[in-house]
Amino acid sequence: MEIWDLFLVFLKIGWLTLGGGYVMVPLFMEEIVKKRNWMEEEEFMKTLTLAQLFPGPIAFNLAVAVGYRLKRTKGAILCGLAVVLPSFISILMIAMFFLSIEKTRIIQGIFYGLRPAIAAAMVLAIYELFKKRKWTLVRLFSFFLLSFGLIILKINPVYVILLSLGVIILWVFCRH
Amino acid sequence: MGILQALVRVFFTIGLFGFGGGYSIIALIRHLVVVEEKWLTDLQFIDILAISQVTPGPIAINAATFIGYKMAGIIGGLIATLFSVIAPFLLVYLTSIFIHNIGKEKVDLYLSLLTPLTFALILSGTYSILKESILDLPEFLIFLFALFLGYRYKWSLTRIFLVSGIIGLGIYLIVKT
Repeated sequence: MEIWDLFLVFLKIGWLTLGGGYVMVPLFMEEIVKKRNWMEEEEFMKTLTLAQLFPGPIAFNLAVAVGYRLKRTKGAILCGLAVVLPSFISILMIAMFFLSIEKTRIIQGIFYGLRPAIAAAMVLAIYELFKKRKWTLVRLFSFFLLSFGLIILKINPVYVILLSLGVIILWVFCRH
Repeated sequence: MGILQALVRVFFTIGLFGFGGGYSIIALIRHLVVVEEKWLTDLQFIDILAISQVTPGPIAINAATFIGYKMAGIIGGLIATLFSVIAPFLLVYLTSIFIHNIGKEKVDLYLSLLTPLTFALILSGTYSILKESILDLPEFLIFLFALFLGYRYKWSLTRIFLVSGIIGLGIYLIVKT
């Protein structure tokens, strides 16, 4: 496997996935583990575990972690770039175009309909995710508490994230 | 402070605290970009989110490129994009070098404990978008219709957006003259 093959695989998946996120993870696995045998499934899962630990888009983190496992520093940089490039190029082109026609009646009309659709998409996402998780009383309570802080008290999300992380890391360490 | 330095600071912070990915990062981006820096209005922010969702790549990276470009041209887009991934890159890269085996149980526990936080972040992002995107009756009806298509008929987001955009355009041209 050449390093450019690796770059192209990530570039291809980057171009194909709208909206990003966890949709990309099975596609990566398909290409890297099943089609090309560059990695054992077990090793892929370990890499995924590592990528999930940190902030940042999961597709990007996974690309960097897989790139490092297969081709060290060069691989990490190139695979990371491969995920960023399709975003960067397509958004740049759209932004140039959009910002010059933003004020036209056609665009205003389309976005008049798109905005409530975005709101609907987020409500649907919350519902789907909520169903999938197991909710203990403690988790529900901390969910309400954190939501109250963010929405009603309008606390800076950075502080809410820092505080939660502190509590979680302490908890994980104390339990093990 | 120059706009490029401000872009560096804001998008580095977004990258460093962007836990949960996807929708959960929206509240963080909105707080820094709309509430604190006032680079965008709420409506402009929602429009950028709409574009980010139907474009290849993760929402956070797409939003970084768009906002960076809007504020400071191509250089701004480049800087915002790079700095939005620099913290995750370093964290993943350095951990890959030094740690070869991470206990899966520990990470799974950590991820499940993270759930209340990511949900609260998504809820807070959704709340601000609901508040700003549904301003009159036609928009409320489009919202209900989109919800119905997604829930009842499991339509993909791309299709929902397409139909909502067309309906919105029709209503806008007829009503808002």
